[in-house]
Amino acid sequence: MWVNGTQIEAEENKSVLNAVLAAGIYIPHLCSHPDLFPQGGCKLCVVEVDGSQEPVTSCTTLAKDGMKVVTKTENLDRLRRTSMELMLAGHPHDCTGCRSYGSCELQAMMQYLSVVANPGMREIHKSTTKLNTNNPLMDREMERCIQCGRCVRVCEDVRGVHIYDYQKKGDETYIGTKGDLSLAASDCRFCGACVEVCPTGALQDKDGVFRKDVTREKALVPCTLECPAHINVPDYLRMISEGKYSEAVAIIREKVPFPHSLGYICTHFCEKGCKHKGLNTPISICALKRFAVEHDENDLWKEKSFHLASSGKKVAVIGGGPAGLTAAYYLAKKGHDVTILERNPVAGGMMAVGIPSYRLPRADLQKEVDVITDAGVKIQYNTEVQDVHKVKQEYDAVLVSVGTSAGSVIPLPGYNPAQCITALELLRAVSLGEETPLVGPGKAVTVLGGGNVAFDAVRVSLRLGATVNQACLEARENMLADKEEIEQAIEEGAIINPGKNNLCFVTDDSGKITGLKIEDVKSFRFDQGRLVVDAVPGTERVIPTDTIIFATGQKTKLTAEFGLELNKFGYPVYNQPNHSTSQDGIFVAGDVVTGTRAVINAIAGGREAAAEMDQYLGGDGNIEEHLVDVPKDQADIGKIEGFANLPRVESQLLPCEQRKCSFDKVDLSFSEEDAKAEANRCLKCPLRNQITPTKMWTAYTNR
Amino acid sequence: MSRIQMEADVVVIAGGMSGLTAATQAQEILNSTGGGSVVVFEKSGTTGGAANMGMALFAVESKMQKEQMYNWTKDEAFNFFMEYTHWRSDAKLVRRWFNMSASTIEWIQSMGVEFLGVYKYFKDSHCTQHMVKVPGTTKPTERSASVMIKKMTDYAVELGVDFQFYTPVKELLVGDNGQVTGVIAQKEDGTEIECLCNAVICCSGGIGNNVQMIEQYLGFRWGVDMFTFRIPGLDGDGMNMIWKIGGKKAAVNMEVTYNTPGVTDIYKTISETLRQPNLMVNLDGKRFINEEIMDNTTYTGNSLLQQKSRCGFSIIGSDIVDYYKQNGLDYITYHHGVRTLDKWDSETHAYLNHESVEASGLSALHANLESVEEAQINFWECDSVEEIAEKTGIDLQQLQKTIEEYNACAGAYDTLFAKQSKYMKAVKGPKYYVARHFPSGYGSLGGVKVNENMEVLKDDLNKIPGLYACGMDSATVFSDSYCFYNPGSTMSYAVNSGRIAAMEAVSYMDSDEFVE
Repeated sequence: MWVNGTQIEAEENKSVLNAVLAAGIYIPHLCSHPDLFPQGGCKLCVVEVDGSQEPVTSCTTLAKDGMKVVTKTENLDRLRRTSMELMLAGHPHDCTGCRSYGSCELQAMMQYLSVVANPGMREIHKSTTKLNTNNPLMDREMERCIQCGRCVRVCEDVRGVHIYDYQKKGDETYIGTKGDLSLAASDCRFCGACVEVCPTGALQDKDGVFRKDVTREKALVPCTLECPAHINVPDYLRMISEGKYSEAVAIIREKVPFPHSLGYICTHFCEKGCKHKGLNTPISICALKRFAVEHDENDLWKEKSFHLASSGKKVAVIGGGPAGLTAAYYLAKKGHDVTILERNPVAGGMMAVGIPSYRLPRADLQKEVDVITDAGVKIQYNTEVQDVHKVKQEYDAVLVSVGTSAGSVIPLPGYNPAQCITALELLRAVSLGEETPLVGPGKAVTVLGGGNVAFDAVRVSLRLGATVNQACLEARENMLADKEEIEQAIEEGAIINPGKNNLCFVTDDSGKITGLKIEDVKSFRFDQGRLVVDAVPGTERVIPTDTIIFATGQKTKLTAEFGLELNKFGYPVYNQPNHSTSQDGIFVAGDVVTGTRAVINAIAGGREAAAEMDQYLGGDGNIEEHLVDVPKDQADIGKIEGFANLPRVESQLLPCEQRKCSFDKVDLSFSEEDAKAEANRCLKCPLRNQITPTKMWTAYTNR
Repeated sequence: MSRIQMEADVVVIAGGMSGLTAATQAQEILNSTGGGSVVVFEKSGTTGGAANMGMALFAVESKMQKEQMYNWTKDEAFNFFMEYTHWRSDAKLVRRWFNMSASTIEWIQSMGVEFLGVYKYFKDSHCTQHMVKVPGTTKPTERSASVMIKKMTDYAVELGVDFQFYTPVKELLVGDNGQVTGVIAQKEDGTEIECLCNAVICCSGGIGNNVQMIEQYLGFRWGVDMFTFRIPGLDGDGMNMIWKIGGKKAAVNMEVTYNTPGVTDIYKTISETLRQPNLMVNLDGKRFINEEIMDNTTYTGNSLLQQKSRCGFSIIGSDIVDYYKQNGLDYITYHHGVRTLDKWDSETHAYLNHESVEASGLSALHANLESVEEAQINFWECDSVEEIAEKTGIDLQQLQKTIEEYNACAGAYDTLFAKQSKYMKAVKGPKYYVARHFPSGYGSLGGVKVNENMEVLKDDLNKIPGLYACGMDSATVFSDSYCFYNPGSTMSYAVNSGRIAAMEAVSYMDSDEFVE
């Protein structure tokens, strides 16, 4: 082809517009989009072909061998300017308040064509711009619409949903839904494709739907972004919806070695990110993970899992919790000889001696630990390390992942150690089958704290036969524990006392604690680390109590003798953002770095530490795995009736009467039908990243 | 994270009006002195930034002004401006800017940009706005600066400027001797670019869109008592980067104007009618302004800032509306282009029937409103003074007293503020129309301390070698208030400070002062 006298090569069956653009020569266009069928509506892409003065829209004209195209003449400029003026007649005069300012293709076109308004033409005011503006996740500001129809085409042709079309009301034509129904009532899939292709500010994501502090590609998939280990959530949900559970597990295992345990107890940051919460409720991602593991019959993940030959290097991991086990697993796979030095008689850290077995059955955890030992990791139980340097003498690298295993105690007036226990001590004793003389039938216990550990202590105490009160400073809606933990505890008989300040322990003459004095709290804050409470006068009362359980924070047990430089809070000093310390070859990961966090945070930290340590030991530091090939998701998602309001399917629970006196697992997971339905609620956020970005005139040198 | 290495002579942070000019000027000088490279890292997809909304730029003693027999001199302009700012602004910089302003117009014309002529902004303003002409039109047109921006961008590219779009700068690199040695920029896919250079010119446009910084440095709560334009991208990137490496913090101000939120952006006729020089009161029901100055939006905004809840209420009666319907408005601004009240009835009907809630404009003001009750209403139709007080929260007794006093002076001498008698129109029913005005702002002014060479200074007022700031990041010359009497000043400052920075940066590179 010849364009403005220059020869270019074009693929057959391409439009003149796409052929010329591909050759780096700009032709203005607005209604065209690289992923959409041409419409020839905006008329900006007009060109002259083969010497004919009659212009044609280049988007709807096929390129032909030997074709001669002229993209710039006075006549074409006049036509384009007129088309642009028509589009601007109904568009706001100024751009103030438009969130698309700077990324607006119409604005760039005003620059390119030097047309910024509609001189001499009457402004068009439309009444239809006010229809259907109030929708979740997306804003529709239709006075900015230029009716290019990209949203109509992407919804119908690419997504197969087809809720938008050109509508007519009186003498106005506008883009809207059938009957002007809301997007939800039109069975919109809320995939965001229409927002993605809109060249103006007419369709926008609501403020706050996507984060702005990360790359766009990542921000558009919030579940994966919010997961500390960045598990590819949408892909495994899709596999579950298709009944391909082994594939789903392989996808999860690409990032974490504890899919089953996480499926029970993960704090699911993914669900907090899930865009579906803008419609009704997030997808039940965490529970679906467990479902997939329990229905994986093929262990597909094992086929492609790497295991390198021996490196000859020895690594010690001090502390076999989620961070230590994860790091050990990947280091062993990278060919290193790894030994875990574990204080307890079991591996798993808080997963084994903290979280109660009714939430995380020990047999299921053990299977995942077995995978790690099968990979070559050795575990020395009942081994408490006193001096890290002695260990370092025998190993090439050491990871310290000892967690925060010391519970904090608040020594209120009347404190009597004989009646007080930390939640960690209680949970550990119960996990290891030890006696718990302070908690049992006939005992009235009060748990101080409002986090998940507190509620573990509450529910364990109930199961041991005690009567249980709980008290914390936070108001009910601000309590840190998962909502379901609180609700289930109440159902099991716990009395919760949120928004309370602990004044003192009430004692008898012998110093024995008989109760806890509390008062109501209006608000509280921390001023330079010191608690300042605004209490409600006259609300003091006493909770009768035999035993106090502290779930008021955890800290490390590390002391200076251990051999690491510690900060003023007792945590090791390390090189951010790395996991190395000032001591050569000694690394840190998990709660001992971050303070008490979720299991998934520890796993993510363990992975990072493993990658760094591998590099330190001479490896490439790459622990990424591609465990399964799954086909790319289909862009054509089709319509689902009532999609936006499909309810979240909750997993079945063991009936309260049965569960409150046993340590049997509480969560009974889904039926297969429910699991698939739940996975099908996914909004398929990554599809939006498949849409080709458009380019403005600024991206072309030949313009 | 992968990292790309680049090198350039001059790096320009952001390609708005100031950055685009700086890059163009720098490349032009480099090309004429043996060559060199200029890279612009721009966050958005195109050039011009906020200036794409603009129309005109200030200059004095231009050829066009002479042709229009407007003979305000550079000296007069300088003296006027220094008087206006009480000599708190940098006199050398002001002098340099004003002296070069006319030649800058010619420089821009040499790129093929045409101007319609020179315009005033309001009756008392100077005639300084050099209005960019949109091809095929003969009237001032909003957004016409886009045309200039396109021409300048084409010229810059022709000269060899390298524009990196969708690639914001994240960090300034500093060498052992405190000099700036380059920048780290980030592409859309997360790839970092380390670009080493001899000089960096920062022009990121201020903090107009950064709600936290506006509250921190100006004490305004956006959407409560301040309704700035919030142009996307103006997040204070440059200021934060410069402060981080020790640049001195200078006062940040808002380029204050005023508006009627949710009305001004869409209901142009209502807005213009309620911006006429008629009775305005505060929540106490008292007058606080000679309404005659309402065409000076800076002064009006300043005055509103001093009132309870930072708002004021313009009140007119239906007889005033009828008068305007017959005779046209008292004040006409060409940029809004509202001369008649043809659309008064349709606009008031639409607004009063709560269609405003669903309409748009300042999007954030209309977003997430589940019901009419939650929407902020800023325009009312009332049947009595009592109803005005009830709906707006204005003190009724004082309002009645104020209206009585005001009406007593109608058509005569304004005993309170000496407003001209022709603007003293009595406020009578039967219908009353009330609009609530709040301070608004185009964007921020200042933040980074510079000298007359646009060199960035440290706390000790010594310069950071190799670092220049221009445009709004550095616009402390306006002192406490934007000078509305010199229309076109914002864009003129952006352009001329960009030129100065470029000239100084290029000469620094080849001078003995260059810090290795």
